[in-house]
Amino acid sequence: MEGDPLATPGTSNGAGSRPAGQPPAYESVVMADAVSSSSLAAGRDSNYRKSSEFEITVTDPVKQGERVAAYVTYKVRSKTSMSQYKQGSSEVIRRFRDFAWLYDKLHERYKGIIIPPLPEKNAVQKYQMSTEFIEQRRRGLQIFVNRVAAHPKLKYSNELQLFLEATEDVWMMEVARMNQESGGAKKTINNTMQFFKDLGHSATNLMAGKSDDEEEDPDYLKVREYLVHLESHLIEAHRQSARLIRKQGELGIAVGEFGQAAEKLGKFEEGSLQDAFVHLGNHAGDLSTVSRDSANSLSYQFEAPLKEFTRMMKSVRAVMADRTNALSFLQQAKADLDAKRVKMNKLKSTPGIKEEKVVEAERERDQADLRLQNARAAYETIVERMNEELARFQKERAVEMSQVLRDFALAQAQLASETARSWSSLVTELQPAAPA
Amino acid sequence: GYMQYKVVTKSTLSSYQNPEPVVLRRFREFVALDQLLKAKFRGYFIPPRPEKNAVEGQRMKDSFIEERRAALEKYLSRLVSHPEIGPSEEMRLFLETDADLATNIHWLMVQPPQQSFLEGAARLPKQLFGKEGVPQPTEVMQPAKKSADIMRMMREGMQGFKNELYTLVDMPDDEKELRCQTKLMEMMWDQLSDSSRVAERLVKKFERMGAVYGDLGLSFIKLSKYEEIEGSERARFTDTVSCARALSGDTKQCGIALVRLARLARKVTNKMAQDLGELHDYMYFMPSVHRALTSREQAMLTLQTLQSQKVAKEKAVKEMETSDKPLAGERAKIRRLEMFKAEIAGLENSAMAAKAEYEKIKAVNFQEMERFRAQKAADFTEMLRSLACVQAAYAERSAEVWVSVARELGATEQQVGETRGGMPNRSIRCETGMMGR
Repeated sequence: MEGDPLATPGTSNGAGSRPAGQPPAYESVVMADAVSSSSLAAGRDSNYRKSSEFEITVTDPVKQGERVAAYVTYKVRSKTSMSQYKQGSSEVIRRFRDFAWLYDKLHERYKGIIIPPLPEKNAVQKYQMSTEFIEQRRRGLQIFVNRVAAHPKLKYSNELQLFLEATEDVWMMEVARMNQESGGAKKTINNTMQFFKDLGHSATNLMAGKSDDEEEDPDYLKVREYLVHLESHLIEAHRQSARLIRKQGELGIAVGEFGQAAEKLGKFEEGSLQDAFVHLGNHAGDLSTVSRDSANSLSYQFEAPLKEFTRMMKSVRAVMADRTNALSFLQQAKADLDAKRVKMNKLKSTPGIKEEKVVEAERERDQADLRLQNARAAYETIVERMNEELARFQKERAVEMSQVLRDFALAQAQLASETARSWSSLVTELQPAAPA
Repeated sequence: GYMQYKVVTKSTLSSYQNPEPVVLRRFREFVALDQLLKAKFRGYFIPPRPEKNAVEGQRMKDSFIEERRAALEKYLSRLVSHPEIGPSEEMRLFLETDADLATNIHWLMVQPPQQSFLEGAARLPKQLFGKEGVPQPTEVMQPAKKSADIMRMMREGMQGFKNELYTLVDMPDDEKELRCQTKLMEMMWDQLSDSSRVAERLVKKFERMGAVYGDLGLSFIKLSKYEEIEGSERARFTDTVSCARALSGDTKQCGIALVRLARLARKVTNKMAQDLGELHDYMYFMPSVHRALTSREQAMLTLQTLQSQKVAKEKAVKEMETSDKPLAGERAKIRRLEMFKAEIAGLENSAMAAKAEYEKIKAVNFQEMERFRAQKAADFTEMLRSLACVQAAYAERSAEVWVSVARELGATEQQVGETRGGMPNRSIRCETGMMGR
């Protein structure tokens, strides 16, 4: 790959280039090594935000097809040092639904892991396919795939490898095959649920039948509640951040318009006062431009990350739902086993019962027992993974939030500084115009 | 019911009987004052009086009353600061007379001669037959109002149209000068309206931005509080206690900075509205300027009308004197000639009075234009200076606040330096007195 694509992500599109002196963009921090001097980052052994084994970029969006059937393809370039990969570097073409496939597959296979979120699926905006929307999506996709590649478990997944390496035909074949398999797996789960229902286990029966060690950890339940409320706070913070950017932009426009009107008014004055009005017009024009640029970069540096936090919470909710499902599955399996055991014992103690009926009942009990063990294993895997994941999630969120806030403060400081410079030079220019 | 306003004056003028008169005035008395001044101070730029039209339901509301009170106070202050109007007898009577002006003899005596519509209409037939006579000198000093001397109006209307045709070619230089000034003032009036509207929008947008700062700040503070209480509790489950504390701390820093700046933005908004209000005031002053300048044009019109009437009559006399008429009408002819000559003499007097009035208004126009220009230059200079100072100070303070937050959140000195773009830590020399913590 030419150059170091990670130092300036997206420059091949002409986007993402920033004026000298701007604090580093959030996403470049996500991609690059941790530069923050935050005490949390210090002394960390593993860097979750950049994988030491991968370098991945998502670039060159190209519109394909017509109108309703239109879509965008992206070039996904990757370099890796992972031994399991056939090639050290690859370049493939993928579209949004391919990324979505990767997300779905990872979610299916890695229960309990918080899968990094995808950018919006928004149908209306997609139909319009504005340049801005495509650029936002491109950035989101790049962050997504890099987060996957940096995750301690997901980085080893076959799905990721297939996504990064497979050529068109191989990709389509494997995708079709995996879909069939998991389609089958989905069917099995549905069948089993139906099976339990058919056996006439009502919800209350199952609840009544469950034993103590099949209950949810009360501490976990409190954490779950915390996370649900946290999401609403994060959504509010994002909403306000979007409003801020909008209002700052509108103010910039109003300043520019005022400058123009004032300059026209100044034509009816003379001498230094007229000059002063001209200066006002000039400075107002500059400020208008500065405001607009600031609003643009803020939307990537500040609003987009806050939006991503809210999307991350959706992934968290998905994992929590998985845990709940796994638990209820486990509870149902336990209740079912108990029922089968009771039935078997009853048959055994019935005088004059046919041998084959008892054998049948024993077999059913064995099957139920196996199901229970699988269910328990699945549930416990999720629990174990979730503990690690929640810890990772909190730590990562803390560092990233600090970074986002720090960059926001720096951007605001810069804007304020330039604004101050502009107005104070107008003050200086006005001094000779002041009456004696 | 109606409101009465207490007018308290302090005067050092010797013409005042009482150095600190206190009187009660109704709004309609202010209206009467305005009408009086407009009639007696033709050519002067008279400060505009507060609006009359009040929605019925609003008139007794406290906020409306206070608004009107402040407007009336401002109105009187501007009147007394005018070099001619301030020390006038009319002002003294308004400020000192401890009675209702409508029935006060002294007040009624300073009123200008008025002609009612009925009187004007009654004169019409006589004028048509040429028997009525000529406008008297005192009458010509007043512009032809809609309710009086309709004939005069018609005549003067024609004259004005003639002026337009020959544009400014035949006018003396100083008249030309003032007509150009009038045109300029009209154009400036347009630009003032535009600027005033745009300025109002600017203030509104600034206010909204300040409000959003507050909203975002609050949402950050709420988030941080939640992390602090709930997050720390739950953190024990995942063993991330230190994370939760740092998270809530950083978010709180940002939130507090935003709320602080929102408060400051509110103050700045008020000052901005005050400063840019100057544009609004000047916009509302323009009708007075326009009225003063056009009153001179009316005076000129009156003068020209009288002069052309006189010329027409003189021409008629000449024709009568040189024509051959039968002996039978000789006595009637002589009588007619005598009458015409008397009318010509009357017109001569009126024209002289009209000329004097015109010249007076012209001189006043020049004087007022000069004073207006100087005042405007001073006011606009101060407006720009104050606006720039306040904006600069606010931006400097914002930068300070954000830099300190960035430092708290771990920004390097290099990063901080980059935001300043190499500008030294210079504070703005401004007398604003509002940028304190």
